[in-house]
Amino acid sequence: MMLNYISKKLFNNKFLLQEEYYKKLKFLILKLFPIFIIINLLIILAIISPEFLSFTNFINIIRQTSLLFVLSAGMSLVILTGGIDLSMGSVLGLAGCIGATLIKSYGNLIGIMGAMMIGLLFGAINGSIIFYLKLPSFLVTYGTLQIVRGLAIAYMGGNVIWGFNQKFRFLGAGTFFTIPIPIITGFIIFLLFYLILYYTSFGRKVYIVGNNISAAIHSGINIGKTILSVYIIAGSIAAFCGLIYISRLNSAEAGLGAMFELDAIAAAVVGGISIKGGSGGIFGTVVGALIITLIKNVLNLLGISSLWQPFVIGISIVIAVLIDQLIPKKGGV
Amino acid sequence: MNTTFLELINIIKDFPGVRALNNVNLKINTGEVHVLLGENGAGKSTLMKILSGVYLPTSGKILMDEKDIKINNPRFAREIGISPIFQEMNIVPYLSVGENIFLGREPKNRLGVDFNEINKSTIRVLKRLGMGIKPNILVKDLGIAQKQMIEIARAILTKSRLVIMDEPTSALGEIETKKLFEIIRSLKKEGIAILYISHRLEEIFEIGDKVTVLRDGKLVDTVNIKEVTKSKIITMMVGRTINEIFPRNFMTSGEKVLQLKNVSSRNKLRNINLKVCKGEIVGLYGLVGAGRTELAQILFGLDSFNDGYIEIFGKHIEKLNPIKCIKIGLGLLPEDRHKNGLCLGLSVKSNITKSSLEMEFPSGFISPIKEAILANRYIQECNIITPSVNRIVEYLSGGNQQKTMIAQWRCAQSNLLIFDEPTRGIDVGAKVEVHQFMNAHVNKGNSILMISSELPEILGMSDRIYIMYRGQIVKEFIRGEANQESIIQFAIMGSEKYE
Amino acid sequence: MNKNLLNISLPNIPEILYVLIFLLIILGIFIPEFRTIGNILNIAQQGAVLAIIALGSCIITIIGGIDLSLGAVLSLAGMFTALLLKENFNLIISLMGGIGCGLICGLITGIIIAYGNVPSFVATLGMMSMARGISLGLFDGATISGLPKYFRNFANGYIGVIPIPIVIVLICYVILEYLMKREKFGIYIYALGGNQNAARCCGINSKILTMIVYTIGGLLAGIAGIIMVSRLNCGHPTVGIGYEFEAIVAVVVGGTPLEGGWGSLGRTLIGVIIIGVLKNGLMLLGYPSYWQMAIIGVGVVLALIMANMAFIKSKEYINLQT
Repeated sequence: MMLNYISKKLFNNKFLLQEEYYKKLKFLILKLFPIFIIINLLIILAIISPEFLSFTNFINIIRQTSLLFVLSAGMSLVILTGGIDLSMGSVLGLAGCIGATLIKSYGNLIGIMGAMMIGLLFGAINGSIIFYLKLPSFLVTYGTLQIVRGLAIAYMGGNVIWGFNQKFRFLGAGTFFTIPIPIITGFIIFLLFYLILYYTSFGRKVYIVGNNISAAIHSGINIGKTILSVYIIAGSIAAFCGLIYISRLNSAEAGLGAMFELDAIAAAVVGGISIKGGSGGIFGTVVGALIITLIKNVLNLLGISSLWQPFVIGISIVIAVLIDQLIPKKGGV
Repeated sequence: MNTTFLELINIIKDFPGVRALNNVNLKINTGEVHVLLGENGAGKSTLMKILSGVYLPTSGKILMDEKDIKINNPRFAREIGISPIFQEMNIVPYLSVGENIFLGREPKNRLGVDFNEINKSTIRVLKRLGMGIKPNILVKDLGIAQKQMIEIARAILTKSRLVIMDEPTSALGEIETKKLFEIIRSLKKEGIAILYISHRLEEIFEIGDKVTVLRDGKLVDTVNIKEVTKSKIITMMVGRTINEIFPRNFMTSGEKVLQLKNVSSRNKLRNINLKVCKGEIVGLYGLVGAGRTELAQILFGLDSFNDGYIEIFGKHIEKLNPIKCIKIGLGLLPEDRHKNGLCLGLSVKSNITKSSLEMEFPSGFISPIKEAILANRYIQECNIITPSVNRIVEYLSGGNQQKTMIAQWRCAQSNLLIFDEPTRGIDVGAKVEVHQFMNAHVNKGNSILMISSELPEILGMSDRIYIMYRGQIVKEFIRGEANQESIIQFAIMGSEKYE
Repeated sequence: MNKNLLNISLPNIPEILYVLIFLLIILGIFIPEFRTIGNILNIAQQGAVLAIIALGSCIITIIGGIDLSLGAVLSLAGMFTALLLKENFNLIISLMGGIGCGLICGLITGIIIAYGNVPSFVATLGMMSMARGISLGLFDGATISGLPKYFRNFANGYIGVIPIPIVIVLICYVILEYLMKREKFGIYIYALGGNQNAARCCGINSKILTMIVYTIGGLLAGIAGIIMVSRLNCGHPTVGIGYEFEAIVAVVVGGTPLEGGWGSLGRTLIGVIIIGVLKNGLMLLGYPSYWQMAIIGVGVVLALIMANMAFIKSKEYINLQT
């Protein structure tokens, strides 16, 4: 029904040629696909466990989605420029651990600042090596992933830090008029990224660099600044998520954040961010994060151990990227 | 006696918006050096690509030994005996000479690949070509002339019947060229035909048997070299009646906006002296390899030069780069708009504003209303046909894409524009509009440096014309002094001496 | 993103060997425990697994690709073998099972990359996730222990004076080297990596070749996984994490350029030895394992800079730092 309305609208537009009509139709179908998936997943969930459709569970899902979304937003920004940041999980962990120890010794403010500095630092390292040394992003960030994780293990020395003060716990576990803070945080980050991507020249440059880097150079865009910035932002987001997580879990240990970057990548590509760069929107990332969260919940309710999740996430990434090959590059800006 | 073994009949090749080959007929005989001649864009490269299986003709027949064949891919072309030698060699750098020659057809023995056999055959065939390269050295260490030999050796060993050579002497010195010609003569003796694409008249007359001249995608004529003079050939290449009227109000020009003095670069350019004045359209003509695009790159800061200096709007700038150029009012519309000029997946609006982001939105925040108004203004001004500002540029026609690029630089308020092939690959109507725009641009007191391969365009639009030849400027014409023949002479031979 | 602009400067055989010899001498002088036979054998044992993976990684790098899943496939294949052994299957069948598992993973990866046109890092990232997921999920995160006693001898046994894993490495090396140097395979690999157009024009089927290369990578990961299981005496779901990274480091240290076109299995093995020696030295000096990789990672970046691999003199990027 909706498709009929859409096709009527398309036919009326005299500027569209026949082949373009089909292209647009295919594009619309592929665009609606995620929503289709979400609806299906929700139906499955409801069937498996009717109590699922309760308000608390709903809030639960939204909260998990928000957490995943924040990390994935940073990842999306990097992927939009045509790169990738595999180190986000490790940076999340290291920042969380260092933040935790600093909070314990010097208070919340120092702890938060310290954690964010870690994110900034490794983001800058990633970006610099990638841009100035012209090494592929997946390789550099894969190396950073290993190195930072090693640093976290060394730093913690096998210890676990737990028990933060009430003020800090607010970040991850608090509520504001019964809405969990992470949801509000996610919403704010969404607005922020929406603003950045569509209302700032920096965001515009991200799309231009990702879509055609040579044209970006020929148009006088400072691609170095753009590339460095996205990795710094990604690192900072990872660090910020580290703080949220230790606040939620009320503890910090060296393995925090392991494999989180996979979830972030999955949310981004399933949500329509093209791995080739220059295509996809931040709202898509929200949808992608929701889908991944729903998938995880379905697995849980079906009694499938969470150890299977990497498998499902891996397949989702591969399928999403394969589908992405069928869609022509479109920026949406 | 030479027989016709390969025939192209009524070949038509269309690309979106452009007919690259229009009913071309060609007969190639065994043992003959058949020269393919024409200006840039005449269709030589398209024809060559059809023969080597890279393109399929839109219509027409290809007959080999009087049998209808379809050359679907490069592999098939090689199988039926057509060996193209492109300028980007089909050579694997880290394999040996012998391995390259036998790539895909390695002889085997019980232990695997028979390297002995490869080496022996390689030495044999290289000896015939008069070369003593060891068969097991890596190809990457060889010079261009030797790499060509490897491709020729491969052609011989695969029993090729036609070897296509695309500008083979452009990177060779005199001695190497002489050697190449000896080899070509020995290939002829074995009945191998050569399709020789070049614009070097002295060489054509030295080595060629027949010459086919293409012009604007059409076949002009095929003649025996012995029965024709150089001046006749030149007339065949460019002897078109120019029916187009170019929109130009020629006015007196003002002070210099661009000046190059003795500029040389490491790879090609030598002693470039060039100037552009206010209100002028300066044309830059040259054949492939003359160095025009290299010059544009240097002007826009995309490549460096190591001698001489450049003054833009009277200022000398250290370490040019695109960002600085745009700031002082210089803009470049690259030759390949898909690769370097436009972001095909983004909207018309984004493409128009992409060079002006700092200028129009200094705070860093983009106001969508302001941007839409801005984009609309230039869409109107440049007459870009698009249903909305948000239309993805990929869906626009070639002409509208070109106009979008123009709009981008209008939006960036560029006074001096470097136009690299302004009307390549666009339809006639859009061509006229681009020319009208160029005229309007300079009438406002701005200037254009126009690099073009289309003689009518160069003659019709330019106030002054520079001709480039092998990295140097060999002639400067003032409007009215030049005609098609004189321009081509300088472009082909570097001077006007010929019989 | 397809411009290939790295400026390559390859270390010659003498250089890399000199580095190794230098390392051996320095470590031998300053760390007494280094010189013991036991220690040398230790290095050999640990390095064997990495060496086998690195051989596969080298070939994949030559064609310009990358495989991030090798460590996960190693673990999965090992688990599979362990499972078969535990269920009292024949030794041969268990070994074939593990190798087959690795082979299938590599094959799937190869198909996705060659026919799905997915960039290799994403495809292998996905495969890594999938393989790791299966290892964890299928056996609920548990290790598979209780393997027949004789299986321990596999990794800890000797043929003459040489440990069995080293023998396996040498066999793999010899077979692969034969394929690379004497069979069409090697020539085609270099062609595919060096000039894809030339390869296609000469009739080389790039898709099938790509598939084969990743399959070989998976197969080798399978073999390595089996050795690992024998050494640990159990199937372990999280073993091998980071091995693909160490393998790439070994490949790069061995002088193979990242964008492909050239590579040497022998130099890659020297690279593996260098890494093994370095890690061993750091361990004897008291640095825990997590420091070792960090230091080696930094060292690789420095080596890349020095070998000029990392700087590009490209005209587009000159003068862009305003």
